Amino acid sequence: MNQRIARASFLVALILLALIPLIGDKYELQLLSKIMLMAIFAMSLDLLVGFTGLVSLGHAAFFGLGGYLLWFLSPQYAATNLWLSLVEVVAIAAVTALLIGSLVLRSSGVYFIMVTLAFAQMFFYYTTGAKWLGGSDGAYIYVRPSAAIFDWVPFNLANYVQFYYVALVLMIGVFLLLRMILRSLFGRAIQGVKSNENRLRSLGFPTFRYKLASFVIAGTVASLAGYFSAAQFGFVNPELFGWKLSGEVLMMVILGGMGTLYGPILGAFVLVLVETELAGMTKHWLLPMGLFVILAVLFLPRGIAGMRLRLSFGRSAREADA
Amino acid sequence: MPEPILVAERLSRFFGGLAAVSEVSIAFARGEIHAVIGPNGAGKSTLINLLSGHMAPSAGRIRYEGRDIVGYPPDRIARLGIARSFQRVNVFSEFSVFENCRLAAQAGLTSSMRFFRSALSLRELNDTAERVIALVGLRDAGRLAHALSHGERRQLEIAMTLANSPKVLLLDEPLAGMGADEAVVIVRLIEELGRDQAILLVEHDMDAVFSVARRLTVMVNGRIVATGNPVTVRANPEVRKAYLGTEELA
Repeated sequence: MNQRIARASFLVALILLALIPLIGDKYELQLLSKIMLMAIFAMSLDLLVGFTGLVSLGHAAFFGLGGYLLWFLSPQYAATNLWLSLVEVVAIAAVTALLIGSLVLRSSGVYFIMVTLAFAQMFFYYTTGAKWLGGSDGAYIYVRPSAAIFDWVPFNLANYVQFYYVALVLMIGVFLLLRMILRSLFGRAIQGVKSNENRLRSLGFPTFRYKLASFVIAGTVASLAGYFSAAQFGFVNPELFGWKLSGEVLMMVILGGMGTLYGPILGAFVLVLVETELAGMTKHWLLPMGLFVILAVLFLPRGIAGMRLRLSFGRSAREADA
Repeated sequence: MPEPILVAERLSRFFGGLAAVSEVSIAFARGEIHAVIGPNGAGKSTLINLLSGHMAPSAGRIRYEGRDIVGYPPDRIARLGIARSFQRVNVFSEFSVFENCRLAAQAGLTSSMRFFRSALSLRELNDTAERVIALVGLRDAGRLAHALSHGERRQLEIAMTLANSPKVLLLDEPLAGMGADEAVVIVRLIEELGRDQAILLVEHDMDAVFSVARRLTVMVNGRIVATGNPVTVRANPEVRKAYLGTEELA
């Protein structure tokens, strides 16, 4: 029953999101596009935190990587091809996640948090110091990637309305992809890791590789969000790797409700909207923002989505999938 | 004695200066229920941990189907066909009874790196889950594991170890905390399984032990003090002195 209500309200929200460009102005649409990309980023982190039980405080490493790779692949005064560059970015991010994952996953718990943070900070300090990457000032992507397939151009990322729809479709696509993954054999295995890794090993699962695969998927999806984020604003800087961003996206996951896929989406919307509102009201917006997060965590320990709408193996596992 | 499938040779495990398991040589054969008894701290659980790969032995060898499995990680040992239950309930508490067993069955697949099809579309795994749930006598498979009674969780624990038809079963106090009715079901089940599987049974319930065990080993302070068929072991004066002496053995 709850599931049905959740599904219905989600569908309504999607329809509203699809209609917003009819009434929204440029600023609003750009803000919402940004939020949807953050939602993708947050969903990818939730795969780790909420479903695999791996709390990463360095997930921005992959977000920043996606952004910087787009900059790197873009010729200075010409557009790079969206599809080709996307394939390259995803492949490079996946390999990077594989390398980093195979190292950081040797630790667990609080050490995992520290080591992931350390890796992201390495990227942060490297880009800050690297002149060829623009240093701490960052770098511009003057021309947006072109979506041309031969002579046909399906959409134009420089147009903010079209960008909005690309972000919307992407968000829905990532949601569906992750949902499919979570229902698969692999998805069940990683959720077993979260629930009781020791028991899962005793049953015969080599848990390391499932954690690693989850890390790679999460990192790759995060790079996708970073790629489009850089494409939206035409700008990258070391902050994309920063612990602030890692912390913010973690907050979205927790606030929205980890262990659900729509939770991080809700979290992204609520957090960024509240943040934007508060920042518009007062210079000292961080203080009320902090209070808001504390209250939210106190009163919604399972996040917004946890207000009785948990997508889990709650009832009969078969029923839940029907 | 039939040809043993799992053999430990002079197995030892030290914790600092303490020998939890010391020079233990023991063998398990298919079709035989081999009970290991002894007072608390005798090293029974440590022995299971060594055999299942959860702990590395300080010395000694473990041969399974002819190969040395010392140093194998627990997941590999499980996939080779040695399943274990845990003394303290160790299940996936947020999952339903069904999902616990389905996941256990899933462990038997060559790989779970399959990302597309729904896990529930694999009929075989669902059937296995239902079969083992029925075997241990659990009802209402949709309930979450943390909502079960202690005894029911023990039943679930055993159901999970059976999902991949292991050749060797290491059962660490399977009856502890179970109600009398459930215990009867489980004892009967162990007896049944013992017909073609090798079973190591660590259990404090002596009635259960003497009713199912074909072979009995007594451990005290990490060492084996006696081994043999239950009747001879029961008569062994050293055993009476060390362990059974305080109990009335009718």
